[in-house]
Amino acid sequence: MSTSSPAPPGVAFDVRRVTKTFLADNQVVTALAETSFTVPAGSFTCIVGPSGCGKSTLLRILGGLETPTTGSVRTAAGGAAFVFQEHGVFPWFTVEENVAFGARMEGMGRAERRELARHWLAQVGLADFAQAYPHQLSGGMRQRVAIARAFATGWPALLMDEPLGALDAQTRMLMQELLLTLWEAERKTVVLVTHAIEEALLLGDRVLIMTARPGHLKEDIEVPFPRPRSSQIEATAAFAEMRGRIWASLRDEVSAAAVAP
Amino acid sequence: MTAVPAAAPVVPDEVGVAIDAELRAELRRRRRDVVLAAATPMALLALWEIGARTGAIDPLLFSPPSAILARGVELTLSGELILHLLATVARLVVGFVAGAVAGIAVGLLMSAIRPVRAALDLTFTALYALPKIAILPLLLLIFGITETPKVLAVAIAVFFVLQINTLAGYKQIDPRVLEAARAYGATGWKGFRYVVLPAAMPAVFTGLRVSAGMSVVVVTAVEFVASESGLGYLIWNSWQLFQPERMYVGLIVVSALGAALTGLLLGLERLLLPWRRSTPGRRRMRKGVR
Ligand SMILES: Nc1ncnc2c1ncn2[C@@H]1O[C@H](COP(=O)(O)OP(=O)(O)O)[C@@H](O)[C@H]1O
Ligand SMILES: [Mg+2]
Repeated sequence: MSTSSPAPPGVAFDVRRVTKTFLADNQVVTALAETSFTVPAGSFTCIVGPSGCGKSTLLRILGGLETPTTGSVRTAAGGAAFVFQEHGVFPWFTVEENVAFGARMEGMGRAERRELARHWLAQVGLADFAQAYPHQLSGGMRQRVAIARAFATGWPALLMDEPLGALDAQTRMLMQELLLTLWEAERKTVVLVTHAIEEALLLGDRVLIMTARPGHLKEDIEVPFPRPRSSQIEATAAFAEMRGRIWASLRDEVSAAAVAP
Repeated sequence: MTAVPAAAPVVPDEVGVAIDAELRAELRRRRRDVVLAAATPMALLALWEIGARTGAIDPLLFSPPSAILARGVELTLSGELILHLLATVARLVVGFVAGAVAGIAVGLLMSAIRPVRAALDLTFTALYALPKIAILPLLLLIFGITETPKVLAVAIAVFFVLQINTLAGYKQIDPRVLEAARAYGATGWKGFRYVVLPAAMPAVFTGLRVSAGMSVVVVTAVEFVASESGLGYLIWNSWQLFQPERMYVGLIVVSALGAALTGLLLGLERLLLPWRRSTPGRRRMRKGVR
């Protein structure tokens, strides 16, 4: 297994026959069965699958937070920034310090960091909250901070693990539009895990469906809707048709996961 | 099917009046709370004074508050009280600071370096069970009746509380927060400085507050038996000389000292951990209004 050689040009992640096994409480858990796929640079890939099928594990492997048990991942140079579901922003830093955290770790000076944070806070609509602490914000605002922090790194790839999963339906819709706008302006490589099929179809160029645990790739579906997109597409017949197709594929896996020990 | 009648449009004036009334009622309730909180100790003191003067309670053991106050003024003016207070404060401050610094440092080392944790955790946990005041005779044996064993007794008590709290603060850090730190390049020293340290701080301050109370107990007890100065000595000596008023003065001052130390630490916590401060509105809501 080698994770060192860089991905070929135009490829952000090249996942070859990756598996991941954990040893927990003297039990072997196969979190990820053999999985292979390629993520083109500048594309938006969404991953759906029943809970516990290894989506977070896969994302961690892509980001280098976890090493695969077997197989290899080749990654384009430049790094990948994470957006976590919750608890990802640091409560002891102000909003501004959180947004510029990646830059601070890379040694950027204070004035420059402030400039950077200001820019991204304006992008996510939090310009007035630079000096606030996370506990003073709503859940939706905290996720805006997390998203701004990821974009502010300037790294070419973003890995999002159910970033909107803990938000109420309306906040979630607003945030989907925000992500859509930001991404269409920046065109970074994004891999986003979600359990909302609509979200995957609205945001993604492509949807990867995973099987129940031990998870592996079941289907790889192109999303044909032209860009720039808006939430209007959710009302179209083509959207309903695709949603039905993905749900048909996913529901077998979800029910398999539901009766698994 | 009956239509729901549309509510009459609310006149802004009515709203203002209703809000005003509610605000005034709330202010009234708060004033009442303050008065009640102050009334209880006043009533107890008055009862004590009357009881002691009428002989309902033995005035030789329960000196009337007025007599204690007079004695307090006298001791202050003569300079005796200040001398004892300063002696205790000096031992307390030196012992507390030394113990706290060492305890936090060792706790952090144990957090950051796994072999250090493995080597020390069990031993320190076992030593923590030892009542700290019980080793005073040993300290006296080693150092003689000097300042060293007194300060050291305080320092040891504070050390263990802080070592344990700091390590506990580390152990309870949300693993997801540590993962986020790693994902953003905060590893090694940076991860420690920007994530582990601030995340452990609330537990450290809890340790400081707990050990503040404990250190006052220890310094007083030490001064009972091994000192010719300090508030503990003042209280003990008053018993030996049968001077209850002087003893009460000592008790009051030592309590005030404990309260002052705790207050100081609370202030420091608010200053150093602004991110813990909840917004006033939220705090009130959580406490409930009535
Ligand atoms: N660090 C770990 N140690 C042990 N088991 C783990 C660990 N991380 C994940 N797992 C297990 O691997 C499986 C997949 O987890 P995860 O990737 O979080 O799934 P998902 O994100 O799809 O819900 C689960 O059964 C989970 O319990
Ligand atoms: Mg997950």
